[in-house]
Amino acid sequence: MTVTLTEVRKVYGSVRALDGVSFRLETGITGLLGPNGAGKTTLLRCLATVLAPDTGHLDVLGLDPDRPDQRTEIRRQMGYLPQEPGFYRNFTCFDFVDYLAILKEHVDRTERHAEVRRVLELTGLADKSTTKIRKLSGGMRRRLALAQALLGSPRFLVLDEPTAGLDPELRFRFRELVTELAVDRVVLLSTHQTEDVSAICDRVIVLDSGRVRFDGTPARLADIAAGKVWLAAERPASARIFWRMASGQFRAVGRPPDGAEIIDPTIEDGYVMLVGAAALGTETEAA
Amino acid sequence: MTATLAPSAGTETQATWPAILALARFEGRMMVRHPVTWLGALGSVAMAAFRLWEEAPVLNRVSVTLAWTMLPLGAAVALVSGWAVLRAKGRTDAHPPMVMPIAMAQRVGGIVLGLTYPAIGTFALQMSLLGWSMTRDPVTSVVWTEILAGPIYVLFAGAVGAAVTRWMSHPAAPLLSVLVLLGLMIAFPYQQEDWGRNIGIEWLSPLAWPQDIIPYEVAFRPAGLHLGYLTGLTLFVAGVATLGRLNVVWPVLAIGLLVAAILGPAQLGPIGESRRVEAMNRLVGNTAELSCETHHGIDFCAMPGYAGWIEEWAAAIQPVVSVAPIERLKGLEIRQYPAHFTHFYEMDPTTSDWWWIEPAAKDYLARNAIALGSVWAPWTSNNLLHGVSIAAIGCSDRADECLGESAQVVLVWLQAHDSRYAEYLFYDAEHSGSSFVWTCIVTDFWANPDGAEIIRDNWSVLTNPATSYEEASNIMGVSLPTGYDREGHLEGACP
Repeated sequence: MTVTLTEVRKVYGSVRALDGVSFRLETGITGLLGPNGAGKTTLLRCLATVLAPDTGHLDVLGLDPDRPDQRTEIRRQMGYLPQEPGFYRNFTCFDFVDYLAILKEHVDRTERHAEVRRVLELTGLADKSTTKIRKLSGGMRRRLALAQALLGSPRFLVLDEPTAGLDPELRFRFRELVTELAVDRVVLLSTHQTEDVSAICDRVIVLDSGRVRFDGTPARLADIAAGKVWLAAERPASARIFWRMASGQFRAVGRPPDGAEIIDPTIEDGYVMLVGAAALGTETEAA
Repeated sequence: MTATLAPSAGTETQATWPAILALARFEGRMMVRHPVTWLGALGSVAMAAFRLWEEAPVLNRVSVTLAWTMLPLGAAVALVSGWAVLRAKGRTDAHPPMVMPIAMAQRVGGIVLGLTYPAIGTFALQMSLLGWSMTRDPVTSVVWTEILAGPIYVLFAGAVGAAVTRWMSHPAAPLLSVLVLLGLMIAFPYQQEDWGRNIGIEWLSPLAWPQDIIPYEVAFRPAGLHLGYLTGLTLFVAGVATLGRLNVVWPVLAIGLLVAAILGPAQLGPIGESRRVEAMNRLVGNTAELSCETHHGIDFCAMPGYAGWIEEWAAAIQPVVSVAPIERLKGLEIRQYPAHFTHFYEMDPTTSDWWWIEPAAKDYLARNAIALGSVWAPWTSNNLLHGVSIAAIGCSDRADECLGESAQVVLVWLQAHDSRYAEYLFYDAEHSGSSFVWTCIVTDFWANPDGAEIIRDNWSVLTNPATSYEEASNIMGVSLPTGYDREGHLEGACP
């Protein structure tokens, strides 16, 4: 069970949203990181069969999305959580998921309703099933969007910012849920939440300016910043980025001064070192 | 330019149709539950109830009314159906429905099939209104081809909403579909000339509006052909709405177009003789089913369920019978007809007015008969009194024009036995800025307690067409107003 991209390119006018992207996804959770405009959403849309790449090739679970019949089969086996799902405000939660379940060919009414209840339960919305969507908070809507993506236990899950707007408890529940699902599924998780990536992803891909800048484990991404994160009592002049912590010390990422108190990096530090130019508007000091 | 993948399945699979049917059930429920649908239904109920109450339920007029008053409901369903398509299309290309196996055309197919729910609801609504209407009139006849035009029109309206919204990518498309629908309703103007013999092109409108000059329209509507035409149109528009990915669409679209193209013009042609005979039988009623009794030498014939009214009819004409020579009234038939339009249209099937509309009617109507409808009330009793009085005075064809001046006075006096008419007469005489000479004479004469005896004693003279107002006023012992024209019209009020 794999998803493969080979030299995928997608251009919007003069902007190269995807510029020769190649990688292979396997069972487990892969995190997709990148600055705004890096091409993450375009990449997810191509994988979700919304967009066709200009060039290159996609293979999703052994199926070719360019072929209409195989595209349909991909859609049957895929769950997609878009960044902006476009809710029907006057639908109840149950009706919304029920409608999408029908579109996913869950035709038996009894089984379909059981499935709708299951995904609402999974996302903690069971008690909101008769609530109109317009009355839901932003976080609840995000859970509802996730619920529809989980319909039919898809083999390939494409999740665009799934934890945006979720409170900590729900984020933990989400992690629990996705890690259980990922045992025998391919999950691609695009996020700005590096904690989620370090917590649940086996692998992380960093996209920048339409290109893959990093593909490896979260630990390897953190290693990019190894020896480049330190604590300082004074405002550090050589740091690429720094901030004052609650203790009053400064945590700095960049080129440490001699004798600096070096600490262990996180993947966030590695990410900053990797895409610093795009993320911070300064010259990249990539590994 | 972004090359967006067609959000479609491309080919039908085994799961496609069960999913579309499941979607139809879902969309049907959503459309029926929508507040706008209920608002439209409320409008239709109000319109139908008002018209049925106002018109008096006669013959298939009820069926006609139950079809065209579904107009607001259809407009509401067009709007709701358009909104459903708008929702199915999504606001962005990353909308979840766009990456589902059921494609856009198939989703619209589900919505179009789901329209059967509001259509069934429409039929239920019509049946409720029909039931209510029948509590007012036991002889209401039901013309199913007329009534079914209501639900089919609702299907058509919903299909228009779906088609316009499907092919017009604008949030205002559902509203535009309602305008398209209403435009179709008024785009076919009445064909005014020779309307009595030919049916106008208004039949090309999805819902044919009833003309106000009616009996012909009521009796000879090509309802069956129109229903077929409307069904063809509905299939065609439904096909247009669902073009794209369903194999069945092209045959449906083609059959719909063919049916509409054949039956559309066919319904505009003159009706056949057998249809005319059938319609006339409906208008005149089945003589064998009448219950007849004779009072004062006059035959009273009532339709089934109305026999109990004969006593009331006989009582109503008693004042005329007590004054007029009985031999003048012998052989007269007071008969109830299912299609009696005097109440609303001021037309009587026994008068020449009707024959002008449909000459064949003349052969079907009883001679020397006074028509009664299926409503019995003060205003209809006046019509009965008028007919009996005319017959008593001796006008052979019962047209007012055959009366002389004096006979006109007698006619009005006889009718004034009906209290409502008398009230009108006296009010008119006392308050109107102008009046007729016979009004003044009768008003004055009304105060004479020996009036009935004077008229009875002088019946021959007073009902003679040659007797003038002057002679009548002398006989009646009242003063004759001055300054009236040849038609008896006074300048100013009665003295």
